[in-house]
Amino acid sequence: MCLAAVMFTGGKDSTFALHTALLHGFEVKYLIVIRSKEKYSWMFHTPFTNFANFFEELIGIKTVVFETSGEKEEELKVLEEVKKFLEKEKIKHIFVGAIRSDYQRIRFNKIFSNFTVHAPLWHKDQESYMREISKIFKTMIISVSADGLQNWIGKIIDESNVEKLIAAAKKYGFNPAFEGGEAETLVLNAPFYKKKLSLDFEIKKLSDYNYEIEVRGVKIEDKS
Amino acid sequence: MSKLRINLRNCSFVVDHKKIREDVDVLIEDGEISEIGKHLSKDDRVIDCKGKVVIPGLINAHTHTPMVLLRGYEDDRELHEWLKRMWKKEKYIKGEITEIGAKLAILEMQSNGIVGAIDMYTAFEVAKVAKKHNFFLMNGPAAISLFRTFAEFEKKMKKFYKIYRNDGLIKPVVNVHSIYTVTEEDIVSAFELAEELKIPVHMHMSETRKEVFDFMKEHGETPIKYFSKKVNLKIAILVHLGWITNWETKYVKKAVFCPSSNMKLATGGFFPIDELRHAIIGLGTDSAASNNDLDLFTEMKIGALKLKDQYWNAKATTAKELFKMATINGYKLMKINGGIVEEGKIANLAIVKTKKPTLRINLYSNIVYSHPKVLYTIANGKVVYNYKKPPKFDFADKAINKIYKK
Repeated sequence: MCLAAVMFTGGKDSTFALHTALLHGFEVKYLIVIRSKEKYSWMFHTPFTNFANFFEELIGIKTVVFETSGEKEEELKVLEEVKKFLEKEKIKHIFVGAIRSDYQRIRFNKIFSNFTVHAPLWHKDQESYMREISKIFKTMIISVSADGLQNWIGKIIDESNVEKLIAAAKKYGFNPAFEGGEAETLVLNAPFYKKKLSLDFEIKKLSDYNYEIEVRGVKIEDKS
Repeated sequence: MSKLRINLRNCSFVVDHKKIREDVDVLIEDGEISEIGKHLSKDDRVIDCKGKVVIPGLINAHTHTPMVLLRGYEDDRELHEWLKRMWKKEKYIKGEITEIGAKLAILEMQSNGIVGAIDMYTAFEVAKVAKKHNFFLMNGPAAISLFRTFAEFEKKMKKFYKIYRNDGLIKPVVNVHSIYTVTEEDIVSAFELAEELKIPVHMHMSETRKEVFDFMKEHGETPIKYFSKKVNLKIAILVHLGWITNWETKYVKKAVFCPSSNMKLATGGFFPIDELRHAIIGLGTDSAASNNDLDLFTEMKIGALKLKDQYWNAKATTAKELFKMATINGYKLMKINGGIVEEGKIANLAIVKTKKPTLRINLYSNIVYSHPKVLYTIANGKVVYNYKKPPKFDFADKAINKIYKK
């Protein structure tokens, strides 16, 4: 059996990477979560990694959390720890949701040079990707930091609004898949999730273009 | 079978997946390999094989033969959009035009060392042409709920089976298009029919992630796992499998890998060969409209490169493994007593000229990675392709013009 691990945040990209790993015949043994104390990370997308507590129940795959202070060089050190862990577990395949960040890709591949690093979204067309996930995932936008996205905070991306989102991306100049960090997402339900997540939240304004959700309650429910 | 005795004399190499012989003669009698040895003397015809390599005739384990008429049409499309456009044009591929397409494809395959194919298309017309050209064909009407009722399909299938059940060249199979074009009820009924007739099922499966995700949305489960509880998957030849999970691979006993077609249609699939080696894996070109060749030498090379690249591992596969897919495995899928150069086996062979240097140690590599030139193809003991007298292909031009004008 080909074992794999997925670098996971709960966002759309790492969820897609997880689904690709499973549908490419890999046994995904671990979801690797990097929890950064810094809100804005050099290496990692950092939405709701506090939800790491829930991932295992939600998805049914063991989740391993690695903590980092969030300082640049610290983040690279934590990847070395991940590498040692995976080597000990005899896992040679690692899936990442990277789309275009060469910073992420080069540094990641340098550390994991003796692994096969699968990046199924690498340089894929972002509009097609968003249209695809609007059909298969229930993805919530949980933080925004770009003009044009203010009204999208807390919204679920689905087939009814994905074209509007793509049009807004063109109008306001942000990446439709938020590859520039313009928004963060959390997938509440997906085909390979064992259960689904629902959130009770409020919207918090941080600045003119900067909004995030403040979670009041979390429910993990059976999929109907 | 041909009664002619053909002596392949002084073969520099005779290669199959088990062994390599050097400097031997291969005698063909009554459609079978009757003797392999040195200085054999019984012959009616001699083919000088000095400096040449003899291999088993190749089997194209998945194709749609008459679709060669649509070669180059809508090249840059992904599968589901491509299919809609193909089906619009395929309305005009019927009757005589189908036979012309089948002939074009079969002659082309024979010129590429292919002696047989597992086909999914207009079975009656293609079978008629295959018989005329001494081409092994596994085919049958296709169950496809989009276009016909199960009752219509069943009637045709039983008729095809009745005609060809004991035919040496034509092997009936129950073709089931896919999970996105055939209803669950029809899929189950098709498998039941195949079991009743004691023949395999040939089916596209898990080719794209859209196919799999759409299915999961409706059924809550991945398709192979789902159908493992409803039908006997042991009888199925499942084609593509680029989006199959690790918990489904155990249900696959017979598989076909179509690397060129999958990559051309940009399916983004991953053929998990490490998880599928327990199965019999054949190699297919798919149709010439999504390849665009009917050439298994190309397919062997591209297949090897795809597997190595997807695993980032140059040892992920070997030339010999791809050679096995295109030879003995294809024969196993088609249940033909051949695919190996041994006395008593069917005389299905290809005589090829490989590129220099050709040495014992690099033979499989040479055959797979350096596209040899096919000189002769022999099927059922009869020469069906001779490079000195190649077939003419312009008979298809009028038919092609008719389709493209519509």
